[in-house]
Amino acid sequence: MDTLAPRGDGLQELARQVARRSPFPHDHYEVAAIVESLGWTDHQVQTTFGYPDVFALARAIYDGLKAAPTVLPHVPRKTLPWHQALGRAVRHFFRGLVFALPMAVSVAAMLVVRYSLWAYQYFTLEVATAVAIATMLSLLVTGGFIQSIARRGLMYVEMDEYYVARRVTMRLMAVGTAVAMLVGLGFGLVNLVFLIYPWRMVGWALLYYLLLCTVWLAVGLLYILKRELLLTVIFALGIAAVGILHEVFRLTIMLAQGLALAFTSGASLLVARRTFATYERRRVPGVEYVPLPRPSLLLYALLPYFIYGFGYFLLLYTDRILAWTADAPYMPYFFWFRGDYELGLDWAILILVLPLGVVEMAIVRFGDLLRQRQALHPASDVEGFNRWFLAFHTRWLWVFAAVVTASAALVYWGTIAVERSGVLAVPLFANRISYWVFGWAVLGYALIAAGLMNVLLLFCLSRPEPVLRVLGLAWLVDVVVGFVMSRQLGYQWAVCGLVAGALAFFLLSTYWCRSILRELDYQYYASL
Amino acid sequence: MGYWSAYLVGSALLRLALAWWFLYLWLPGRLFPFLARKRGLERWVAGACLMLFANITLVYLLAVTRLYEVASVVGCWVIVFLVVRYRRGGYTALREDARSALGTILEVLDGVRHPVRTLKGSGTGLVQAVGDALSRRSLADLVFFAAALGTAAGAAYLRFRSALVHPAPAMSDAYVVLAWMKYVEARQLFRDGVYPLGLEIYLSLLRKFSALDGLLVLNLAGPLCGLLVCVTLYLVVSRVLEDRWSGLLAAFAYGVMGPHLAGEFVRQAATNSQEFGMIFVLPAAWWTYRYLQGGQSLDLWLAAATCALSVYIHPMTALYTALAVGTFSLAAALVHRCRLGQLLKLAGACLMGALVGALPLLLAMGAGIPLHASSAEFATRRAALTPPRVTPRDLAAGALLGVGCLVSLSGAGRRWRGVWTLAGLAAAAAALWQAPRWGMQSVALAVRSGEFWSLALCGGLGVAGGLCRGLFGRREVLCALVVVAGMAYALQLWPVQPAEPYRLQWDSEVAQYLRIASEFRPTEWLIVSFNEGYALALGRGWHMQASTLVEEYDPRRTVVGLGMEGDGLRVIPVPDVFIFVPHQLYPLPIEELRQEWEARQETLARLKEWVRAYQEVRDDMTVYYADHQLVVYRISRPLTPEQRFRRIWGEPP
Repeated sequence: MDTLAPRGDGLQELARQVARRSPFPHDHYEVAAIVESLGWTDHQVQTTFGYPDVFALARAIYDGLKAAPTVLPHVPRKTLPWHQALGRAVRHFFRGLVFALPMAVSVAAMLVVRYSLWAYQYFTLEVATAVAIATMLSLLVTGGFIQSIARRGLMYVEMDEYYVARRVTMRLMAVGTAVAMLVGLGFGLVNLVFLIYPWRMVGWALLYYLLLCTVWLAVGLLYILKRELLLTVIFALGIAAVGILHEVFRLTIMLAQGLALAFTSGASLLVARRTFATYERRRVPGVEYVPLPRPSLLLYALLPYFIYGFGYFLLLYTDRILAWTADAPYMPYFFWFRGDYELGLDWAILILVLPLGVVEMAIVRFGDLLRQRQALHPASDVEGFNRWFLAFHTRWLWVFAAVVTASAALVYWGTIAVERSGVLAVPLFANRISYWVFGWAVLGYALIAAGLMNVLLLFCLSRPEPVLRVLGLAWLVDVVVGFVMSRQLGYQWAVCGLVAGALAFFLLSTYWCRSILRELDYQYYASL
Repeated sequence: MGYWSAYLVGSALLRLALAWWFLYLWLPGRLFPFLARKRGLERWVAGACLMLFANITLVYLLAVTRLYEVASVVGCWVIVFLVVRYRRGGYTALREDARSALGTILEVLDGVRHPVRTLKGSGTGLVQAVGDALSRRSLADLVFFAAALGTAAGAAYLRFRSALVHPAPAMSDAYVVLAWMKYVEARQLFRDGVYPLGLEIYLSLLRKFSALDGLLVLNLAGPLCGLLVCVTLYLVVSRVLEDRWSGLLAAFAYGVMGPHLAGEFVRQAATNSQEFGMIFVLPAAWWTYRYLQGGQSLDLWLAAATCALSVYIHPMTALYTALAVGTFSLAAALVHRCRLGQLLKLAGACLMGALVGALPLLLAMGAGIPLHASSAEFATRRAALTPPRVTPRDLAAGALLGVGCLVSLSGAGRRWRGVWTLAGLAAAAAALWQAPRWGMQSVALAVRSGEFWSLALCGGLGVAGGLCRGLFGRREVLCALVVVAGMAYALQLWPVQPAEPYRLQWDSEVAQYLRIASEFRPTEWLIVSFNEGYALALGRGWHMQASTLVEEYDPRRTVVGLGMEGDGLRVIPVPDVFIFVPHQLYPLPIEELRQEWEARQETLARLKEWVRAYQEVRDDMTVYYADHQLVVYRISRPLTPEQRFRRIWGEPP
């Protein structure tokens, strides 16, 4: 590394980044590829380090790495004592749980105090439908942006490039907001031409939709900054604000929720900006920023993740859309909120809380073990390396199944206990449809969570293409089964579409995951 | 009458036009790329016919499986589109489409493409192209364009005026069509008995894609049928005689001089399936002729599809189509000396088409559903009939056809050979029209065959255009001036008035229904009125017969919560009830309804009494609307918070 010293700290830092990615590069071309993947161009290399192009710089770094003493890390058989490993696992498990906390807080508030940030048990049917449309549309529109923010933002955050992370995520957020507004405008125009809903209803839908879009995008920012607990607090404060504005200041519930949503997104944005600023101040002076990628490159790189974000919410909401558009004697508009169906799903989604913790645990463990096991297995034992991770996957599927079962039991008996206590305004098991939907949705969400574990493993290995294929097929199954059953047997049967889609999602993602784990040695190398 | 306004009608027309353009002009181009082999107007007509055939078939299938709705229809189209794209270029074609779209976006992001500049360039190019096209046109072209526009405007005015002025549906069949259309939407086929549902399916799809009230679609789509017949008449006559002036004259005769032709012209201002089916009679015949002339399989398929369409829509038009196809085939066989194999193939395809068209009806009858009683009774009714009077116009058309045939025999040119098809058609139509003369006593044929004769007669009158064109040779502008002068003279000689079909209820009643439907949430209101209100309210709100109210509900007893309750009567869960009380009954429109009207007179008196008695004991009835024809009373019972809560979260078991 000495040869790099005269060129300054920036170059040293870059060489360290290259070494972190590939401690023993095969040749200077590999180094060039890594340097380019970090966003460096010929022009920047020329102006920053004085080398004529990336290849010249790569040759210098490669020589430097070769000249530096080779230190092979000692990989002990057991990296951590069991109690430390358990502690670490539990930490990650709770970090996973934290993801579900804002959702859990909202559902609990809705069921116990009758309202959440954007829902209210005593809404008129018109407002309930408007809010339902707003919620679904906002998640569908921002889903891709949230996923893109998470993917790119996390990448830069892990590189300690907070300035670039902020620039990129804010740009994505701005584009997301613009797209959300355009979609809102389109929704309004469609209603203007076809007069589908009364304008009062469309007004409420658009208000909630735009505010929810900003909330979801801000949530994405806090997620990459690992501020989930703070997010939960902001959500809880928002709900409290609804209560105060509605019950103390006697504002209408819609106005109170609108203000609270504005507060939530504003507070989330403020926290995100402050966090970025704090981290940016910690940056070592003199080190050049990684340049921002061209918009076209950013779009091309993020497109699969964008589609995934959209497709994921589409898979989650298709059964609702089918149930709420199925014909029935009382069906004022073609898309109509059905509370009994929603209630079943709301309760069922609670079972995701524990499994999401397991998913986070499994993914972190996979990342840790990938590096460790690679060092343990000689090149001649590639098969053994792959087999080990196949077994790892099987093991975690069983763990997951056990946790899902426990979670389902907990939610089921917990619900009965809560219902008996009399705190619920809407009795779950007093309504056959809600109970029916709840039972099937529990299974559906469990399968989706299991599929998510597979999907995240594939994302770890930078393989989004099979994920999109899986998601597309699962959605098709969901639509076909849900559509046929809800039209033949009644709207509540749309939940079978969710279960069938979730099953397809789980089975196909498992198939792809295991196919890729069978050649993990190659896939891991290709993902670097 | 309130509520009915130019804005309402204008916006409805615009939405209907958009839906029609999407369904029958834009979509066929995407789903049937093979139609690119056809040119100009024929391509559009072929696309619309194929699309309608596909749509009716699809809706029958979806309705039978209880899956009929916008999403499933669109889903099927998407599948067809993907399959067509796949067959044309395989999986790579689909990938390439996506890649190319992404490439464009990336180029825009990189600044390689400038969308605004590209748009400006295309706009300038378009303006230039239009300018070039106009500068290439001759004076005769411009006269033709103006005459065609005038014909279309005149034909539209005669047919649409009544529908634009009156909200009440025209003629009694309209209510049946409206109700059946709504049954189709509710996936109930042949609810009142077996009868072709082609028109109802067509209207239902238009309603779904325009998101209009069914009543507006019914009122506005009916007059369009006559206009479309003009289009197909122009297409076929101008193609057969290879002369656009012949086509224009034929279209003018049918479109503008229609009130003076045989048959009931007023039916063209109403919505009836026979008038709808008439659109496809001539195209079916034309494509059989084209097939026998050129042997292209596309023409064979188009002929089969239009044969199926005519059976899908109306038995009478199926008969006309069979006659038209037969006469055109015969003429083509004689003139073009086509092979026997080709003829057999054509016969097989047309029969297959007819079988496909009849299949839903056969299956329904096989399932034990009886024929629609009143239609079956009308179809089989016999009477001693006098043959219709032959007018000079009828003779003129025959003479023109005769001259055309003579010209063709004189070896005047290849293009005159087609006149034999029109002559054959006219002979068959005249024979049917004059059926009572040959001893046939079918009332249905006697009443309805005049329209078929009108169509054939207009084809015959079109021959005059061809003769005129032949007379002036290359000086087309002279021909143009003579034809236009002839059209103007005909109008002066035989002035025309817009069709004004009879109606069954006051316009105010229908306008108030539309107002209620727009102001109140669907399925949360109930209308109490005479029988016509049922078809209007079906699928939007609820309807109760006025006679039911006065006979089964005691105004002095309770009117509970959401609806009305009498002894043992079901509660109707609606917060708003509207009682339509006309000051006087609508004047008796047709003699067949005299008995019914007498019963209504009695019900109306009781209804007025009922309202008076109700007002004495309760204070929740207000006047919602009143004019010199009608009073609409409203009984309002808003939902309680508990009822509202239950509606949202579901009823306990």
